[in-house]
Amino acid sequence: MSHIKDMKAAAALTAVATGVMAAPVAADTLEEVLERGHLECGVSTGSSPGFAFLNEDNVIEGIDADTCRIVAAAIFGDPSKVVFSPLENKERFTALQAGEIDMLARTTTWTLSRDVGLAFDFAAVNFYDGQGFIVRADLGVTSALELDGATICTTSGTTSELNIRDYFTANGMSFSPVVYEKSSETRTSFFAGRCDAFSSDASWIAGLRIQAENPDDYVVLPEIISKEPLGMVVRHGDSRWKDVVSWAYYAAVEAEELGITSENVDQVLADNKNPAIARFLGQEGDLGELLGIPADYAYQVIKTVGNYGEIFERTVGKESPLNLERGMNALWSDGGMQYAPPAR
Amino acid sequence: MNRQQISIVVQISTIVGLCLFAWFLIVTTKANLAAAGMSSGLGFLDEKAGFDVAFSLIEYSGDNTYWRVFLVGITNTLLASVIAIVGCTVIGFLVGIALLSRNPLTAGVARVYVETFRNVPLLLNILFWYFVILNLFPRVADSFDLFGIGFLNQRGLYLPLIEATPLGRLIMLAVVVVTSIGVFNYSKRQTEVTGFGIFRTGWIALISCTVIALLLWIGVIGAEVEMPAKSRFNITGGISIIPELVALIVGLSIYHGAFVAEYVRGGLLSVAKGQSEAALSTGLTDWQSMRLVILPQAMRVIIPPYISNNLNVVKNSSLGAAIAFPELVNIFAGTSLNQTGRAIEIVLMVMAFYFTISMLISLVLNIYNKKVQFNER
Repeated sequence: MSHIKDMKAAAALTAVATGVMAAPVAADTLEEVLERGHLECGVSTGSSPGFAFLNEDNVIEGIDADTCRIVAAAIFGDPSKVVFSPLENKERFTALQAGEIDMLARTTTWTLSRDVGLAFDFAAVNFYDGQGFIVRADLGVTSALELDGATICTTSGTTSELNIRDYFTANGMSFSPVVYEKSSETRTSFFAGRCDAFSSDASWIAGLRIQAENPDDYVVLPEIISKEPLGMVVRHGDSRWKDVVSWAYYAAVEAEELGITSENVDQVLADNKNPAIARFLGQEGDLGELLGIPADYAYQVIKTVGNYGEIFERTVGKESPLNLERGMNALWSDGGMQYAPPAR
Repeated sequence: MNRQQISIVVQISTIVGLCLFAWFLIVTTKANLAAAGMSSGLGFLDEKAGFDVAFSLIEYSGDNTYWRVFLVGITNTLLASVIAIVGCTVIGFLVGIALLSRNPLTAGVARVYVETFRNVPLLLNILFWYFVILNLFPRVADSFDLFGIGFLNQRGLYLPLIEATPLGRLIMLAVVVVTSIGVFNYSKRQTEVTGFGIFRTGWIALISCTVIALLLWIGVIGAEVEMPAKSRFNITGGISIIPELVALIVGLSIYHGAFVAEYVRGGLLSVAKGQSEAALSTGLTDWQSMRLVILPQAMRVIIPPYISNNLNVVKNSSLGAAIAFPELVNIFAGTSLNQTGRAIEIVLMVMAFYFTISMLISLVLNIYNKKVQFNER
């Protein structure tokens, strides 16, 4: 009489119970990861194009998956030393709190209540997003402000759910919500016509549209109603681990700024006379040692996964079906917000 | 010490041990939560929830508190469960009797039904009905017009809302009470004269509905009628029954009906064949012998598994979360949990609710079970 869902709920519950009740959460995550020999990373359930998507070869690809690989590469010099935990929206925080995963890279918006109330730390923002709407083209809607009285589909346990209400209240409009547990059901129902509009992060919506039978039947509305800095999350109180995750990620951003790619990194290293690059790539100095990871961590990140620009383009950018602009995610030097503090 | 004393000592030490263990869990949990910097407690229940709910029996808006969300979740869970329990009981008894039919077509169809639905996971069953409804019924723009009083489309069935004045409600209540008394008296007299009662519930419903409709018509009961109307995106006004609720109830009823059918079949087979032969030989019809002789005896076998079936219906109604039906698990253990992060408190509250409801169902049906058992002298 039981079924998968029940078992999953039970598993999640047991995770809370055993995780929080029995074992005090490990204080030194880096130590644990090194001992275990691989990184446990929480990502989407493989249906989020561009972020964590299971491709035909059964490999999870996407910018979130690559963020996990960056951290694995920095620690082990091998991006394959990561075990992905596909998590639903509502499971993700419990899994991290209970210590089932070491870090979460799952399109998670950085908010004050999550940072403080749930006792997490956001290591960095790997994608600056904002919430938008997609509607059926035959409704003739051209602005979100015309959506008064519309039915809107969304997925439970997301900031989207709250943002919609704030936006509609602020604009004196009403709506009726239909909230699914899983994004796959949300998608199917939206395409079946259950709702007039679908609201989620703009990047997700772009992914949704290309999954439609005929993408031209749907229109993405111009309004962006929220700030959604999507970041990597770790448990509060383990600064050393947070530092490792942050700086592993910054290595990819810094590499793009320095013009170092996975293809030219060996060349750069061979020809290098610049002490800053030498420090960064681990030729000299003790930056890796300070973090407790190999000195050439940045080299490994760039060589095996790539710099931020490469990752962005192949997962969500021009070389991907999502075809997103760099926009806010361009480097600061190009007018965007991706900015790595100096590695020195 | 004799054996009884030893057993008492063992029992007491077990209870003490369990209490100590529970105490240990609570203390460690609190300490760990505090160490992790997470706040705990039920204070969040007074905070504003800030999200809307698609369907609620009680007054609710996003300005209400999480406690109100809990209540909305409970009422929606109970609504779906109660209707599904009635549904699976009706289906189960009809199909259970059909399984033993002498007509091979009837028995065959019943058998196919039972085997099909008993062997498909419930979640798939519910998703199936949900997407059938979404794809079968027309889009809002092409809604079926129900003779000018309502609409039917893939987003629900829309009917006029009749809101009676307080006096009107009293009159309606009076009508039902008077009709019931009348029907019961008549039924009693009929039984004395002919030996057979009448179908009381049916007559009460029929008479009181007709009378109330008449009184509404001539204006004795003051009421405001809100008609559903088309607006830009949706049908607004009136009352609506959402497809999520229908799909959940249909899925639960059909799935659990298959189990009830088997319990009923088992119960009927437990009654000795001589009973029905004797009943028929006294001149009762097939249906009368089933209703008056066989079923009452079969009940004592049917009730125990039927109790656990109903417990499962209530618990399985949580699958409504998958199709966006706003029941307890969806809006409280889902959305609320995510907004507040109070996993332990919320999960404990939800567990306490399911536990209480299950105990209540067991209690009521156990009392009924005692009544239908043979009185051994």
